[in-house]
Amino acid sequence: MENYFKEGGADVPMLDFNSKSGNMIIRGRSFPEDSVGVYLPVLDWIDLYIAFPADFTLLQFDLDYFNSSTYKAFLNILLKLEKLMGSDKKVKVEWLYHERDIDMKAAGEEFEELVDIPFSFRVK
Amino acid sequence: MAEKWIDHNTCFEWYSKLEKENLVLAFKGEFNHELVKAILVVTEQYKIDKGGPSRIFGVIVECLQNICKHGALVENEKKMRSGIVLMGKQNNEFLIGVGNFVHNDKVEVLKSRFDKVNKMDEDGLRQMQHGILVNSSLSEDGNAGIGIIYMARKTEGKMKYCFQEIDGKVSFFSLQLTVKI
Repeated sequence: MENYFKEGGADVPMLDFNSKSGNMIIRGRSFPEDSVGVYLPVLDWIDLYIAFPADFTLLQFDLDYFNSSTYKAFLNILLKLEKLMGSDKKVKVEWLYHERDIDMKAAGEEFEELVDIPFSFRVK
Repeated sequence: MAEKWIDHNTCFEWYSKLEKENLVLAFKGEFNHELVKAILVVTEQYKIDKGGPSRIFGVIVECLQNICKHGALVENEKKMRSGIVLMGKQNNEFLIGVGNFVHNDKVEVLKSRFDKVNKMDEDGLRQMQHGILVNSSLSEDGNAGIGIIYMARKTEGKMKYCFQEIDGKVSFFSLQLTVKI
């Protein structure tokens, strides 16, 4: 299956989803005018991916900021990957944040509460 | 030709006024996504100054995107979504004021949303946000109230709002928020 890659911009993050390695990166800022248009293709890609996933899926959130309508898109991505838990495949989320950005760290912790995927937090 | 009303004095008067009120940003005009991006460039310097907090950035985006999505079109020749945004800074506090037009039939809904959120504590807001996130679909219009909850969680004290009826169709909605960084 093909990888999913989209260059980031002022209001959209870089989306780099690799089907072979299982590495998925969301990096930058996310406050698009149309969050459905940005994230629906990603969600469709993940639907295909979870049918033939890599042994180890690592989803990395490396964000400076995301808006409220992006929350739902991120949760949907996580809920789809959560389906791999309990199979023989591994899934992990790595959440990056600036040391003093307690809000960003807290946002990651709230996602951690909502899904059954192990999270690790790292200062960038 | 009509007398030009913008002269050197006007510029200095406005500059002095903004300076006196500690305003770091003032904009009146059409609100659209390009403006949101531009205003963020202005606010970003404060984010960097303070080593990170995405808070000020976040609250401004929610305010502006709310106006872009839900503001009423002004009945003039341009049919634009007009509004005003002011941002002041005092020590470690940012004061944000936004104003825009809303249709009168939306006033009660908005009031009850703000009142509901204003009555809740952090724990209640967090639970409400989680509930909406889990139960809403990606394509739901706007963001199903998440924006207001987000604002409440990132601001100090209660969100102060006011509706001034302009005519039978629209009211001017203004919101005052305080963000500590």
